[in-house]
Amino acid sequence: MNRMKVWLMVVLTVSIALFTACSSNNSGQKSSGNDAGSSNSEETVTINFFDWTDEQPYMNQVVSAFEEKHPNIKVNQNYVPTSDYIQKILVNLSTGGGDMDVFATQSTSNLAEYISKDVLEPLDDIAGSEALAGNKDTIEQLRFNDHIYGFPYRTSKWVLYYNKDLFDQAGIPYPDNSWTWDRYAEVAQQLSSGSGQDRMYGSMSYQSNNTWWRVLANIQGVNNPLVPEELETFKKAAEYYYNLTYTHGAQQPFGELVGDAGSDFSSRFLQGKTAMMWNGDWAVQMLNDEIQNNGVELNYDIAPLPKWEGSETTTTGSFAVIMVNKQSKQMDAAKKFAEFVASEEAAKIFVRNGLLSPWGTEEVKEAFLDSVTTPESVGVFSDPYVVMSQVPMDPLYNQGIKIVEEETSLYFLQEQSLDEAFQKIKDRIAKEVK
Amino acid sequence: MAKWKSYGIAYLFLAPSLIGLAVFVLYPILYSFYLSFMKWDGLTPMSFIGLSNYKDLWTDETFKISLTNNLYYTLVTVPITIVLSILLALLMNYKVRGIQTFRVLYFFPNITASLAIGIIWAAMFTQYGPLNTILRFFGYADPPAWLASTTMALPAIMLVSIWKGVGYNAVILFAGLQGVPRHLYEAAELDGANRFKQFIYVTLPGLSPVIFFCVVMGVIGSFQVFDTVMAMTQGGPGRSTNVLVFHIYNTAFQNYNFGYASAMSYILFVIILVITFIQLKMQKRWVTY
Repeated sequence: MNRMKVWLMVVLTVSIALFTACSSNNSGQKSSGNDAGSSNSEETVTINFFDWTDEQPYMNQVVSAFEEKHPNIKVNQNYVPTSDYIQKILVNLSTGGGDMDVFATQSTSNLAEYISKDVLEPLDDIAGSEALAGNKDTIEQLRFNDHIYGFPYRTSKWVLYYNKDLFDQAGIPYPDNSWTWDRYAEVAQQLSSGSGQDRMYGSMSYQSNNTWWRVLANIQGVNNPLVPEELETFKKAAEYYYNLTYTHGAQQPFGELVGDAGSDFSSRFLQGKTAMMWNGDWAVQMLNDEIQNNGVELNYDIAPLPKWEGSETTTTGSFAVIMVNKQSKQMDAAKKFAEFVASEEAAKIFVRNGLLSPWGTEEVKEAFLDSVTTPESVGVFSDPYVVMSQVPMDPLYNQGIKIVEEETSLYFLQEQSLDEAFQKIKDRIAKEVK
Repeated sequence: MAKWKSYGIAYLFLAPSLIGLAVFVLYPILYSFYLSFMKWDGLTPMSFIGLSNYKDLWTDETFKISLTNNLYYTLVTVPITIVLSILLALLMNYKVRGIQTFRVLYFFPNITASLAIGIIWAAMFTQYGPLNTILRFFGYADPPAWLASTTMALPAIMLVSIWKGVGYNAVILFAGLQGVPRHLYEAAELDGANRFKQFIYVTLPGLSPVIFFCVVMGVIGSFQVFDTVMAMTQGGPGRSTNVLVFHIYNTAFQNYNFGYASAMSYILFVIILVITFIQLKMQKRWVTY
């Protein structure tokens, strides 16, 4: 009996030892990788790069180009599902963040948040480097507290999409850069007809808690609801969007656009039952993919966004930003990689994948126009209109905009008035955002 | 000494699961209690703020809305689910052809991912979706906007929760039905009780421990509802379907206010504890073992 107990103890001890050995082995592997890097410049250094899954196809190409240029730096790519990405980064940073050297974000408000939490390495020393010279203006836009903490490497722009056939049928000339939002509403109304489920709409609406209406404020340089003066412009934009739906009857009512039914704007546009929509450059890829690969028939083109009476044509967009973790143990290599992602060389890779780059050089423009040939006026993306940022550099922005979404969605669903909605926004921001 | 030795061996055997429990359950519970007195964003050093988080709850309008929504949700879903489950369990008890298949089918919603259920139901609830098409067919010209309406969105979620919960509870109640002694029915029949009376005086008392289990678990589950809300409405329109766990999730993982979220979790814990305690006390009045 005693012998059996002894055996039992041996088995249990061995199994516990194995269990702990397995778990420590993991961290052992990781740290050995880091050690190898720091010891000698001749040896290969490995850096860990974190990004969300949507970026994988083109980031793979950027990483390959970087590794080719820097054979002694290996970039370990970690792609996290988009919905979990921000949380994953938070976990990485809160647990010391030692295993994450470089990471990306698609919102400048997140950049501001990371800066306020003091987790980013200032990049001032390389921000003025020759490799980034052509990207300098955009980089400067992300200056915070006199420092540069992140490099913009990809951008987006909103334009006006329209169904050419519907314009032709109605005998209305195509939109151009002379259009104002009043003209847009007028034409949208003219192009709306029918009733019920089969009604044709002049303009595309989206879910009630959408971001689209805010574009109308964004193009006026207004993006932060936490600034009381900016709320007025947001209010006017919301009212315009509401009127487009209920006064002009030019947009599908928001009550019909719940859940996936509301978010699927591209298929609604492809069905040819909506004449116009304003949207980001990503819609080109979505529409072209359906037209070229799935045989959907749609004759569309793009134009610059309409302007408000008395102002110049502008557009809006946001930046994807690359940052270096302050805790990185491979600082030199990490900075080199961040610099490369924001360089002209990487910019060409992005545009060849149909994406927009903050780089405005002729070479980058040409590469873009070579890769994206449809629609006809795709050059609008390269036109030198001022791009207003959609998202402010404010760490509290996400909290504020959530309140705006909650209250305006009730306005768009006709459950509260415009004044009520904005009074509540003002009150709730004062009380809840901290 | 010998006793200690045998206990020691027992604990050694229990160790793997006890360690797991301590690390993954006990530690987070205690740690979040500690966090509830802190201000912490997950990155910068935390600071002790005493009872501030708990005090803030009294003025947090979203918390009040979430709590009210949750109570409404519980009061509607639990009773309806239980009543329907009992009826379904009785039907399952009939020995007809293919009944096994039905028993499996009714359990199906319970093994389907909540997110998938949410997405499918969200499509069912659209303005021109199947549900409203049926309502229009039956002459209801102006069917509700369901998920786009502040008054109908929560009932829509309740409907899905009930649909999902009935199968699960029915299977448990069906198992309970097998435990009601046959001879009691025979005795009741001899005494002249009809089917309805047999149900009231034999079946229900016999099932009461199982019903009690279903009610307690149902109430706890209803206070923890999250996935259906996340998949169908994300708390909207406005805050009309915001429930406690959803508010906790937003506070912690959207606003990075972990201290405040922990305080809310503890309030939720106390609410569930008190309700469960009351239920345990009340069971003497209606549960027969």
